[in-house]
Formats: sequence, structure tokens, C-alpha cells
Amino acid sequence: MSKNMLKFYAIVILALVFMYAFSASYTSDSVDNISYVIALAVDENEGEKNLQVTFEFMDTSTFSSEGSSESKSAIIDTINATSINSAINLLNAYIGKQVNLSHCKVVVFSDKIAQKGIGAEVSELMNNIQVRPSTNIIICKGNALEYIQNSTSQLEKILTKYYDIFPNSSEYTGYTSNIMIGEFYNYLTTKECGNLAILGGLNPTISPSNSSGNPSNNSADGSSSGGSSGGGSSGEGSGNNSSSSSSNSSSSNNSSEDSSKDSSEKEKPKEKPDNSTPISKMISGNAPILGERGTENIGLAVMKDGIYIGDLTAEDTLCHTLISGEVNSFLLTINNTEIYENYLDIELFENMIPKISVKIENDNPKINIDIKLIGRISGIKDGINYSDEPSNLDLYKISRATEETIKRCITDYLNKTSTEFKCDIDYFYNYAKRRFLTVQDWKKYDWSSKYTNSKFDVKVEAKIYYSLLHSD
Amino acid sequence: MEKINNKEAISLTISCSLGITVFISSQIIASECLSSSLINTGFISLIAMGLTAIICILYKKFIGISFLDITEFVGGKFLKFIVGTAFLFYFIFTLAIVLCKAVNCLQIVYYPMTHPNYTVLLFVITAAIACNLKNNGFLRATFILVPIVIVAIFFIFAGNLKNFNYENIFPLMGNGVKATFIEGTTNLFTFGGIAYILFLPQNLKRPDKFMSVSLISTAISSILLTFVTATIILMFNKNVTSGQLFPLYIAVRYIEFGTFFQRLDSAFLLIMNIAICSFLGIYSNLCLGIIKEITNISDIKPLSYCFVLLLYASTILIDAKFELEFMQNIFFKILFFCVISLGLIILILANLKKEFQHE
Repeated sequence: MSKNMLKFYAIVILALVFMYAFSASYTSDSVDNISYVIALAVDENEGEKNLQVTFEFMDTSTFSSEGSSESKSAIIDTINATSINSAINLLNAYIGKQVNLSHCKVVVFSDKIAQKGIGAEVSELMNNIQVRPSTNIIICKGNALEYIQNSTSQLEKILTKYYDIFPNSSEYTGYTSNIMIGEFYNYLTTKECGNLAILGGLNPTISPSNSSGNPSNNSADGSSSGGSSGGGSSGEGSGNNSSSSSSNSSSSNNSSEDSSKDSSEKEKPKEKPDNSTPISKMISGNAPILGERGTENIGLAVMKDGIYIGDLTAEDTLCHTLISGEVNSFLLTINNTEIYENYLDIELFENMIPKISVKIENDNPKINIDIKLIGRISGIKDGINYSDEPSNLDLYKISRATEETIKRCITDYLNKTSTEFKCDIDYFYNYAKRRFLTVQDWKKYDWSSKYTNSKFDVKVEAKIYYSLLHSD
Repeated sequence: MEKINNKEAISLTISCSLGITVFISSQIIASECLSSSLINTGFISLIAMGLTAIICILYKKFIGISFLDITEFVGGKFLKFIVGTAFLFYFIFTLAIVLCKAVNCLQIVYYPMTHPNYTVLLFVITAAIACNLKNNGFLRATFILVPIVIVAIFFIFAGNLKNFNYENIFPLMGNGVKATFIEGTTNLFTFGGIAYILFLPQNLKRPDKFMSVSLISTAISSILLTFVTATIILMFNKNVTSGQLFPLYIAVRYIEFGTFFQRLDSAFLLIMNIAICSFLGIYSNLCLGIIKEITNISDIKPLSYCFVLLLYASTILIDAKFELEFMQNIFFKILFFCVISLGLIILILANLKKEFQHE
């Protein structure tokens, strides 16, 4: 046999070996065999299996070639299982395609399950190579399943895009924060601090029909048991599976009866929101909003050691985003009768990233925060004469009033973190570490217990300009 | 191996350190030194520069002579065989451990259903091809590839700037002065290029430029190590730096420029796969060169297949029978210090012998 023939045979044999070896991985990762989850909801299950995991998929078959003007329906499946991986395993068997979390945009945990601790679940997700660190994490007031069923907006028809952009309002309102699972996990594994998640809730004005997808009400009770994953994990669980519509779209599996029920219920007058809720008490679920979007994201959920311990209101969240430098601009309403008889709206911009320093005084932390803002008067309510430009003295007074208001809010908020939550959720420990030479010294100091004795010195400097475009 | 010019020599030496830096040492430095990782990086970079300078000074009297010939000059053929075998063992171990780490990572990310032995085989075949390429084809490939990898590392650093927590460098001394400056010295093993430098002079077109080539390549390797370590330390805490995947890959997953420019990890892994092929090519050629010198075989090419089989077996053995963490954290460091010490001792003895001969 010639040398060339020998080479040829060697190459062919190697090619065949590699085709055989890599075809299994190729088949498992082929787009045809994969269904992409866009949202994951985890609820507490009262039965033996302690998790109720809901997966939301896009129905790609409904995408029209004419553009994106039509709303795309979502497919929602719910599984009862002992863990998220078990639920994925069971869902793989149910839907006939392999579930892939590469395009998962949000993970929602119900408040009930978060109160018991979600550290294990978050760790499970972070160890899944498919889950992106940029996936948003939400703690939902109420049922997480209902939250994703109602997560849609009339203004953004494509659900994946909606999930991409919904936390962006943190930059121009400061009422929420764009918290991602990568960052969440990083702080979850840090003992010195607590951590935060986006707080979600159902809009109280939304029609009950939109939350009809509760599996306890309309799921096809297709329980199945047993089954072990290819990877060897036990995948026990009984499956409650339902395909239901999201709030403004119909699922492919919904019956016409359901649709007529939906439409009749939609016609019912909506419950009026309580418009007396101030931002100091406003959180997702009690905001004075009447609208088509079924969910709200106002405020943040406070976690300590992976356990949900409380909420930050819209005002608290604004303070947090101001300290972290996340908010670019926000609106502040001044209600100071010494300056003006009525409300004064001021749009403020963070001039520079806040300067934070931590000193150790008498073995307790003293935290200094220096915030610089510039702002413009964006609206003055009737009842005062605003035809004339305010004098410099007035602007000076407004600036001082703004500073006082923000300083009071931030101090109240920080005192709340140290006395009520008893954990550092603004990550001041990062600055305190500067005062120590070695990790051993730092651990010995025990920041998490010392933080409760912290004193805060907040300095706010605001320069307000008059910039109304028109005056009568 | 054909004679190489200075730029090619620099890219080869950088490539030798790069594989170890990205896949192994950066993770070890970050997990051992914690917040003082950058100080440790600076410290071992200085030592590496000093060590390189010492090697270059000791080489001054033997310009253009191979390291194994110098060994023969010191202790005869027996010593040459022993030293050659020791370095051969070190280089094969380096190849095997980097390959092991890279293949494990690939298996987790892309080939969950494929046995890692097949992926190792794929790389080993690449090494065999690199050994048999005419006109030092792999040298040209490395010369093109190294700048791409350097740009990728800078890009990962720049792309993650918004994710950095600059306070992660505190407490400044991390696990303590001892851990940073005494135990931390063992992290010098990241500069695998120093061992390669010993075998460089006889391959240079201009051996008189040996010192500048060596110092420049060690300096660039130091800068790259600093950027890789900084990216890891400024982004993650200890839990992330002790995972199965190399942390630089996890850092790439965080890079996003809006909703359009995302998921750059695939591109990074592609670049790193090609870099491993180049790494394998360089070390395999070096090993074949050593075998040729210690055995006096005239045509080494047919032995390349046996060598890659040996490499394949070593990689599988390490992967299957040993604790990878022990091998890379302890054994690799010990081996590095043994061969570098051996190299220095031989160079010193050779200089002394030459001095006595002159007298």
C-alpha cells in the first residue's frame, strides 16, 4: 500500500471518528431540537414538590413577515418539581424539545419562596452555562406565574424586547434598578452585605382575567412522575402544565371559550387605583397607575443571605440609585410652603458619581456621602405667579430646599438599612475595606454586625436653574 | 527548526506564557492572593524580568550555542541526557495540563455529549500537523495570532470597565505579606516563556539580540498577566475565581454593548482554541528539538507521531487519574522551579568552567 493511500485511509478513519464523537453534541445543540425560554418564574408549591417552575416561550410560528406590529403570543408551561433542574428535565420530556436558557431574560421568584431563601436556586441557575449573567432577577409580590402572564406592554409588542428594556427606567426615574443575576450572585456570595433584586408586582387595576393562567385553575392536570436526566440528576416531579395567554395575547392552546370569557371580563370596569400613595410608601402593587400593562416594577426587594427581608419603596430606591450613581436624572417634587405655596417639580441630574468614604471611629463605621446635583425647574403648579423669572434669591432657596429634601430622604433611607434591615445594601463595605491591610484583619472586624452601628454623614449640593420654556 | 527573526521569537515566547496565564495561573493568583493579586503580579513580573536578565547575562559567553550543548560542556553527554529529559518532562507536562484545562472548558461549554478524549485527540492531531509543516508554518501562524490574542485580552478588559469594582483591590495586602511576597513567588510559574528562552539562542537569526528579545517578551507577558488578573480581580469575588471554567471566559460573558453587541464568548473561545493550537505547535516542536539533541536522530519528523501520542496519553492520564487542582497548583509550580533552577545552575557552572579554562 502506497504512503499516500495510507494517509488517505488515516484521514477518512479520523474524520469518521470525529463525526461520530461530535455528532451527539451537535444534535443536542441543534436549533431544531431546542426551545428557548424567555422567562422563568419560580413559585412555592404547597404539595410534596416544593417548587412550581413556570417557563415562558415565544411562539415563533406566529411571527409575521409583515413586520412586528402584531403582538406575539407566549406559551407558558408550569412544572412542579423539587428543583429548577428537575423541572427543566421534566419539561424536556413534556415538550419534546430540549429547553435552553440562553435567551432567558428574566427570572421571577414569588415573595413567598423568596422569604424562605432563594440562594440555592440562584446558585443552580448561575452554574448553568446557558444562563447569561445579564438576566434580570425579580422578586414578585404575589404569584410569579401571574407576573409573567401579565408581563407585556402595549407599547412593545415583542416580548423579548420588552424584557430587555423594562428596567431601563432606572436611569431616568430611579424608582427601580437594573439588577442582573450575575451581580446578584456576586453579592449573594459575599458575607459582608445584603443584596437587592428588582421588585415586581401586579397592577391592582388589571382585570382578573389576565391572571387566569393559574395552574390551579385551568391547568391540564397531566401529572407524570419519575425520570432522570441524561446528566444523572434526579428529575422527580409531577407536572402541572398549562398553555395560557399572556395578558394581551392569546396562546395557541387557549380555547375559544376562554377567549370569550377573557373579553367579557375585560369589559368590566377596572378598579380605581389609590392615588393617595406617596412615593415614600409606593412599591410595586400599590402604585396609583391605571393602565393596560399588568405588572409594575417599582421599588426593590431587600435580601439578606438569600432571604427576602423587606422592600425599598420608590423613594428608598431613588436614594439607593443616587448613592450607587445609577440614576442619571430624576424628578423631585418639593412641597415647601416657605418657597412656594404649592408643589414645585424639579428635574435633577447627577453631576458626578457620589464620593463615598468610610472611616472607623470608636470601632464603628462613619459613612460620608457627598452628592452633587444640578437641576432645572420643570414645572410650577398653579396658584402662584410664575410669569416672572424667579430671582436668584428664590433659586438659592429652592436649591437649599432641594438639598434638605434629598438629604433627609437619604438619611432616613440609610438609617432604615442599618436599623431595620440590618444589612449593607449599598455596598459601603467596599469602601471600608480600604481601612484594613489584610483580609484577615477585615474579617476580624466583622463588618456585617458593625454596620448596624453606622453613622451617616450625607452632604448634598444642588444647583437649580430656571429653565421653563414658556411662561404666561 | 529554521532560524527565526526577533519579532517571531518575541511572539513565540509570549505565546508560551500566554497559554499558562489565561488557562491556569491567573485563576490561581486570584484565588490565592485575593485582593493583593495585582501586587503579586507586579512582584513576580519584576522577578521574571530579573531572572530573564540573569539568564541573558549568563548566556553572553555562549552566544548562538544551544542550552543542551552547554550542558554537555559542563557535565558530558550523561548530564545532557538527564537535563534534556527533565526539560522534556516539564514541557510535556505543561502541554498536558493546559490542554486538560482547555478541553474541560470546551466540554462544559460546547460539547457536553462528547467525551473529552476526542477533543484532546483533535488538538493533538493539530500538534502533529504543526510539527510536520514545512518552512516553520506554525511560526508564521503564531506571529499573526499573538497580536490577535493580545487585542482580545485588552478588549475584554476595556469591555468590562463598567462592571469593575475598583474597591476589590482592598485590603491591599490580601491574604497577608507572606502570602503575597513569599508564597506568592511560586506564581512565577506563569512565565513559562522563561524556560523557553533557554532554548531560544540557537534558533535566532541574530543571537546578539537575545537579551532584548527575551526582555521584551517577558515585559509583554507581564503586561498581559496584569490585564488578565486585573479583569478577574476587579470583577469577581473568590467564589467565581475557583470554578471549573477559566474566569476570563466568564468575564467575556459579561461584555455587552447595548442589545446589539452581545455574547462575545463564542468569538473569544474560537480565538483561544487557535491560540492553544499554536501553543501546542511551539512546545511540540521544542520537545522534538530536545529529543533530536539528546538522541542524535538525524530525521526527527517521523518521531512527531510518537511524540503526539505520548502527549495524548499524558493528557488523558492527568485528566483521568490525578486531581487537576493538585497538579496545576502544586506539582506544576514545583516542576517549574526545578527546571529553572537546573537551567540557572548549569549556566552558572558553564560560566565558571569557561572562566577556569581561560585561566
